[in-house]
Amino acid sequence: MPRALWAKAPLALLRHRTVLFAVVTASMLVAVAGASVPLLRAGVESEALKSRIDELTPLGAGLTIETQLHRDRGDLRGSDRARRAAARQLARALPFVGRPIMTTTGVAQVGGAALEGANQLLVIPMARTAATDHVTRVSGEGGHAWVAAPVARLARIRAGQAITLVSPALPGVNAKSIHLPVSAVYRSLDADRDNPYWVDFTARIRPVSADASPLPTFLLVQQAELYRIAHAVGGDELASTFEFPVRARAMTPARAKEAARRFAEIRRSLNGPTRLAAALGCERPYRCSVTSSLEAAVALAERSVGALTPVISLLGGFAALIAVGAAFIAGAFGVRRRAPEARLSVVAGEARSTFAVRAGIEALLPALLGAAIGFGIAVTLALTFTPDGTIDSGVLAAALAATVLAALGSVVAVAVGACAARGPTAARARSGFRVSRLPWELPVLIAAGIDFAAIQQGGGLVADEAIGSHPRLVVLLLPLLLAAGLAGLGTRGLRQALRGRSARSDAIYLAIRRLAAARAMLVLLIVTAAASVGALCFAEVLDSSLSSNSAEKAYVANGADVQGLIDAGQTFPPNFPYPIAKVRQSLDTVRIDSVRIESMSTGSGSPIEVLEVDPVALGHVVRWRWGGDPLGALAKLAASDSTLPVVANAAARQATVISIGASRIRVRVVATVDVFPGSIAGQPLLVVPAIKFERAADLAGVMGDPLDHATAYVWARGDPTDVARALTDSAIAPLYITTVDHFLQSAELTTAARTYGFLRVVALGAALVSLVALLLYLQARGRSQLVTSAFLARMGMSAWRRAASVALEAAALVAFAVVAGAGSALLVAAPLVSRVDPLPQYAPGASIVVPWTLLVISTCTLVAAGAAAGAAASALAGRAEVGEELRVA
Amino acid sequence: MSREPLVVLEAVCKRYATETGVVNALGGIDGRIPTGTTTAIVGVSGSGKSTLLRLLAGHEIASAGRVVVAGSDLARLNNRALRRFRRDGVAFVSQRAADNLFPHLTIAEHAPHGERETFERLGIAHRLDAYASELSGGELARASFAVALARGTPLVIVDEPTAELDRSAAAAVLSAITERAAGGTTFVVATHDRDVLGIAEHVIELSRGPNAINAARPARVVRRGEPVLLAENLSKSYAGTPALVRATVALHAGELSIVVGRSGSGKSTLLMLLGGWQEPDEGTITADRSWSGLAYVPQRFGLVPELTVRENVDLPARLAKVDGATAELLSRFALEEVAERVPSEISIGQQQRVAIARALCLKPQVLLVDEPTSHQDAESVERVWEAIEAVARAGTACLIATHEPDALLRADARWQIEEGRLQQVRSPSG
Repeated sequence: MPRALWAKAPLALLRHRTVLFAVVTASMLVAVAGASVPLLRAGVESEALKSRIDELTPLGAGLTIETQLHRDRGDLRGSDRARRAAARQLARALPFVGRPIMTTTGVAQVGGAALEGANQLLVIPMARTAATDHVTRVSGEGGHAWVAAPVARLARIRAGQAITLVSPALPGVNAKSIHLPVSAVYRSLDADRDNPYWVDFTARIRPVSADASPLPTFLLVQQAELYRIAHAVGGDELASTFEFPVRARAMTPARAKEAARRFAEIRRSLNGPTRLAAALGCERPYRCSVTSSLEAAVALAERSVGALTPVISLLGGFAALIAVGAAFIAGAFGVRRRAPEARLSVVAGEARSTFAVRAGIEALLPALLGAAIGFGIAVTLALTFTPDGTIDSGVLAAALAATVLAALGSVVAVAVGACAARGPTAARARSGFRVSRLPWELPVLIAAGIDFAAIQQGGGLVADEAIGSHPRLVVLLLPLLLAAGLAGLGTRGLRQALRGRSARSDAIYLAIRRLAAARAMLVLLIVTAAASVGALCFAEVLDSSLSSNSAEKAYVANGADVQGLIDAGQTFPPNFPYPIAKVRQSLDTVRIDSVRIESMSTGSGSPIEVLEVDPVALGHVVRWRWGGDPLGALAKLAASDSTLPVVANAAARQATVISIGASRIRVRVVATVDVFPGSIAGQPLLVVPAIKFERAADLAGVMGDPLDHATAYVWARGDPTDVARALTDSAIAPLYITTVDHFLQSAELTTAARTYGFLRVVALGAALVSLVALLLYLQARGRSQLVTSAFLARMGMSAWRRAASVALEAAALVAFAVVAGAGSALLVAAPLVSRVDPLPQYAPGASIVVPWTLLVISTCTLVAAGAAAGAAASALAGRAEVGEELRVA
Repeated sequence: MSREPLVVLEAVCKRYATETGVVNALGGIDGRIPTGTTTAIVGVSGSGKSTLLRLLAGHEIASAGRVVVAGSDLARLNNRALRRFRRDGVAFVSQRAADNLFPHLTIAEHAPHGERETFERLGIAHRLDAYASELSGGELARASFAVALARGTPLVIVDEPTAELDRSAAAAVLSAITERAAGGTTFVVATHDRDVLGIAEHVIELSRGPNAINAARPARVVRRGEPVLLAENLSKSYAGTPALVRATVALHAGELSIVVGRSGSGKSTLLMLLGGWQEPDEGTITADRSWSGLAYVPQRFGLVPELTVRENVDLPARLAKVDGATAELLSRFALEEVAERVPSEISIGQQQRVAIARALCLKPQVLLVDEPTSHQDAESVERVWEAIEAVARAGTACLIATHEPDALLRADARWQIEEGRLQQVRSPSG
């Protein structure tokens, strides 16, 4: 082969722009898939970490060192100042921390006439960096002492007056006192709950329980005053707290880990005879307390991201697989577009490997360009998906490495694709064998069958308590395999069926003939498109089913938008702004001895769930949009004139009598339901109207409350956050408020939803790539049939009829791909939904929900896009000059 | 003196599995090709000439029988040895000249160590720095041949080396073949050209079945009428190089006009301008350019690859919503046997006949054909000319471009073109 071929190889694709575009696009996709994994993971982890640090606050997540100062260790003032200087120096040496907050505290007792005869009132004199900027001032201002409002109230001190501090009254010791001018009064920090500045002092601000004694408040003073207080009434003892807040805004997992590592080093250092320990007053025998929540925050963030990492990795690999496939197709496409050159390679006896190497060299620069674009897209995606995340240089370097690998992978895939498409091979010629005749669909369908069986036997989900349940790869592969197999079989059948078919319209006639003669490359594109659409549709159906089923499960589990535990005898305020209802749920058999249900009795410890409700009130609270409407059942319950009408589920629908002790209460089932709000999976259920039940129990001679062991709840309807707040602030004040949102935000649901979300993005990308590839194919075909098209024009077939013919063909191809893909997806989704239910323990069982509207609209859109792509391809191909084409030929 | 055979063929068969069934391309060929000789392979279109060449070149392996080259049975060679044979043992020149060259390499880059003398002798030395797309059809054919010779392989296989060449260019090629053969190179040439047959020491004749040539040629009566196509002062340049200079031509109904000229002389440009496929730089053309008004058959046939031969021939009638004489045309061009095959499953000569048949489907007022017999065997050449003469008799104004001066004998109006200058010539009889 001419050596110039090698010299010109790096820029050879400049002469074949469609091939160049295909290689750049494919490489870009591989790079996006490859680089997205570390970037997304880092973004998610960073976001989770920031969220944790936000929860903990920068001070809480930072390093805190507490130490004691005693007079026996020398001059208090000098020691404290030296330690503060050492703390400032330490802050400068620590990575990713802000300016230290330094606090020195003592203890003193408030004296004065107002407190005579009262319990001793202790305060904690405190000199803290910018403390007065972080309290709510009630009155006064200035640079002297600031007193907490409760102390001011008890000691009857106002701003401008003086506070008297006295030493503790000890036997045989004369009490000392000191007077300090009070500049301001501030609101008690206990009432200022959300102030992050005081987070490390929470334990000194808020009592452990409501019954515990109030804690001493802080008397905010200047350092000099504090030393004076300590010397006068504080026994010359002070404590220092040095807080090193982390810089949350710039925090990344790597930085957090580095900071946590340094914090751990400081802790070890302060426990030993080091200069730092001496400088901060931690040398033996004195000890310092060194704490930081950063490690916990990092661990929590890692745990959060751990739930998503398998999914990201799985789908990143999946996307990379599709993208590498696209690169392979790009390589094959390039050879098809340059068929004479490939033939020359064969004719000249060039080895396939040599041809592949040259194809790789030709693809190298375009692949690098595509990878660079892909890297940019991956970074943008990561920043979009994790807007609060920060990606550090280490992660960027890892992503860059992944991008380079992706580019090289693309080059290899292009080379392999080119190598595969170069032909004919000697072996093929020897046997006269046609690869396209191989029934490749059969092994694919067999693999799909094995996959399906594996999922049916419980292999669909990875159950992990730490990271939640998430689907396995086999679940994601199934629609791909089935769609590819069915689409392959479909194209064979369709081509046979269309052979010899005609039509009156010339545009349709030509479209039919082209479809009947579809080449292997077109079939490959259609199969890929069908698989992509199948994956997309599968993700949509599973996601819709997951959303609907989890919402239903959430309402069944929680009963209503908001549920709270209340006292059984509690009454509701008349003007509560949201619909509410009281429900009592009995799960045991302590009081109800048995319920006779035909041949079965729930006695002897077999539990039955009894819900006592007010049918009318509950009718206003229950929110229901699924099958087996409980609202209708409640209406029947309210309207029934039976002594004790009940609503039952399937397990209890033949209930006749409730036995409580020796008393028997006859019941009449007026409606049956599959599930009911508050019902428990697999449990017989009776819903009874409260008033009639009590009356019937009375009549039956039941002494006392027939459900006195039941748990009472308030169920409310409305925006969960608003309703929860309203309930908390009302006289009802329920305990353990739960909302449907709590349920819906569970790790299992979030992970599964994100899995399907990622699958949707990947499949959508693949579907778009398939469409673009189809457009390129049609355009390339149109370009190669330019003369043919010009002849058709001369024969009287107008440009729009030619375009319409290609558009019809493209629309038919896309429609076929969509129908094959969506059909396969629906086929496998129906039996699989229950197998990939992340919350099988909650009623009701999962059922398939098909988003028909979305599917129909998407199908129409895709078909229309396909038709438009076909027409565009025809128009693009028609722009070339036929005369020049003929002249060169 | 009997020389050692370089090539031995023993009962060589080749079958292809196609979408429309199995095609027996070659059946039971025997033969011996001595070293340093020129062997011509002749036969009607579709008789398997190109297939035999591919088997000899090791591009394909025979379905049955043996192809032995330089003592090696090609079917028994492993892939590596087969590649080595293709690389060092044989040079192959495809019938489509453009397919022999890489589009992004200049001619010189294809054969950096080639003898300049070979390029000079073939009249291509001045285009060594040109790319394939910058060459005319004839130049491409000569460049391809020169590049193949430059490889210095013992066996050179050429498919229709003179199909697109004028006499002088063809003579240069034949001279090169003769000289190299004398130097020990073995040539196997598939051809319809009598001149090539003239230099061949051996001939392998392939047949496809009983011949059915209509040898009789009825006398033609020309009824000259008003011109149905009138072109005046046409000029056209490509990148500053004039391809046609102030050409004026009138085509009359029922008149067979033939224009002859060397390759690159401007024949194709003239036809393309008359057909409206390119715009002239200067001049005017008056013609009806609908398919029934003017049908054009260029050297690229533009068949619809997804339609069968029958559907391709019938396509103009279908689009015009009229009944075409499809069956008659298929019969006239001996295409019935391949009527249900798609173009990729028939030979290039058959494809050319399909294109001509399609052009005649609506009995056009004007017929323009570029090199109508360039890919035809002797039998089919006659068939094609007869068909063209028949449509001319039926009233169609025909203009045929060819490099075969003998064709002028058939013409009512004779034209010659040289370096873009068109002039009418008198009839040989005066």
